[in-house]
Amino acid sequence: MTTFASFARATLCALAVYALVAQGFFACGTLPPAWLFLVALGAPLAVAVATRATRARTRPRTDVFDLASVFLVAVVFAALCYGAWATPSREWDGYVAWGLKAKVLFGDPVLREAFFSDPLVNAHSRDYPLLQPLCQASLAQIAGEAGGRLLFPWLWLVLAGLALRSALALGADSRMRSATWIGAALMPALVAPGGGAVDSGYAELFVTTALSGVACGMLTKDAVLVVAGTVVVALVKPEGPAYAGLVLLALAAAGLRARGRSKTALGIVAALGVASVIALLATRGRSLPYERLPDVLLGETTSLLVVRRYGFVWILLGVLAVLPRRVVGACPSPALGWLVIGGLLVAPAPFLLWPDVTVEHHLRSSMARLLLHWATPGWLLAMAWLARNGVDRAERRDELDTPRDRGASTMSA
Amino acid sequence: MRLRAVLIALAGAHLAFCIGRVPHAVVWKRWQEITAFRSEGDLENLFRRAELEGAQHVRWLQQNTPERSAILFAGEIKGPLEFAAAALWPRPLVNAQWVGAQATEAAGRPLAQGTLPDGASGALLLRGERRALHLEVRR
Repeated sequence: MTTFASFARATLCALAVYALVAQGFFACGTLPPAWLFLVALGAPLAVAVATRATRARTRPRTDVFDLASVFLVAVVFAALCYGAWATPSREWDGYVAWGLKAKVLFGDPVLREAFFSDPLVNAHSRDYPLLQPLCQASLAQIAGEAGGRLLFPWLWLVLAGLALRSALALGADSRMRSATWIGAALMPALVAPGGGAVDSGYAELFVTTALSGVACGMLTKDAVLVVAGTVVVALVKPEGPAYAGLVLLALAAAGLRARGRSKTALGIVAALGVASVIALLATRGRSLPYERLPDVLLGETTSLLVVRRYGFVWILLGVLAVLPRRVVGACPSPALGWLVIGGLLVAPAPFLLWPDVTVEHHLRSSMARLLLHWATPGWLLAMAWLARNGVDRAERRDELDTPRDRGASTMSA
Repeated sequence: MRLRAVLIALAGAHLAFCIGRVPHAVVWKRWQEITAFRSEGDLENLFRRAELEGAQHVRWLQQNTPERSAILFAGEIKGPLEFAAAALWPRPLVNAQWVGAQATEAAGRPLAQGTLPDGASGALLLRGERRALHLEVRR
């Protein structure tokens, strides 16, 4: 299990390096060779296996909960592989935008040039980032078009491994460990068929995996993983740079708070928030559809409560957030807490910045997907909170059980 | 203690829900979806589920035009034309508005020519509407 978690971490780091190298190729007006992506796929596995012996001492004992969770993940992985391999995307955006781009990158270079630069050619969301289609096309060059779509279940495995890594690093027992990574990997909106699911071909999985890497990095104080996740999320979808900005903001706020400068942190976040609103009003104030705001906020709130998509993640996190700290303990990672809150706060932005968007339709499809980005990080935060609280309580109980404390308790009694 | 039990119950409910959905929602529904997609055909399935019309025109173009050709389009870009562009690739869809009436090629490829079932022949043009597609000959 530690090897799998280590593989997931190494893979996200390799993807970040690959994404940056690919940007260099794009800047030179060309595409990276397909074998480069294979290196990014294979190297992490080799690293994880090669360093297996060094982790032998830290390896937790495997019990029935671990075996059951591995079995579940294997079953779902098989279903997702079949779903990805058997057909092209069966969902709208996956078929018309992301899947088409992978086909374009996979095919004739002259036609590719026309697709991306000739305004006469009908090209859906031409300016979207190319990282995901590039990974898919690179894999397709070696494994065929259907094989290229196995990128998606592979990314899902990385997400599951990152969740497992969070649980392992927290030192949670086998039940908590299994609950953490199974609850993240089997997020209903990710594994049940539909727009945004693993085999739908949408970029939501890539974003969620990268943000799960950031969350895992924040929870385990792994700066490399935070950087890798931030790089990938910034380069995979149009909203990625905004998410990367949120990560930096969350880290800055949490860093200041840790140094006892809570007021400064709050001041900076508030000032940035006010500055953003002022800048927005100054540039697009007149054209912003304010009348939509209540509908959008109501739509977001009701979307959060759709159990069919996110299970009980948001309800659990909401309860943890509102309960007194003396009951639930402190947030295990204030930076991650800030990040998830920031993610939920920026979700309504597209509905206000692009007035031509049909609100009812997009609240049904886009809002659900925007919230999916944060569901897995939210679950990891909630489980870390619960695990830490359990550990704290156990430690406190152990302390009380020591003779000195027992004596003190007797005296105070 | 009671509050902590509530938290554990919520986490347990999440897990039970996620695991409980695996046999039906993750495996069975996916299996059914794939079976329907394969038996109907990709376009027919996608058009039916999105309540669009005109999949047969795209299918006809796939079967009756060479891959090394460009196809003209006009009308609403959003909607069924999005599916047509993806399904017809590597035949690029080219905006008829900006292609001269006498032009024989666009985007570096010859314009697809053909004779429709109604007997009209010439450069083929897909006209998009919000919920339907029509196949015409450019006039």
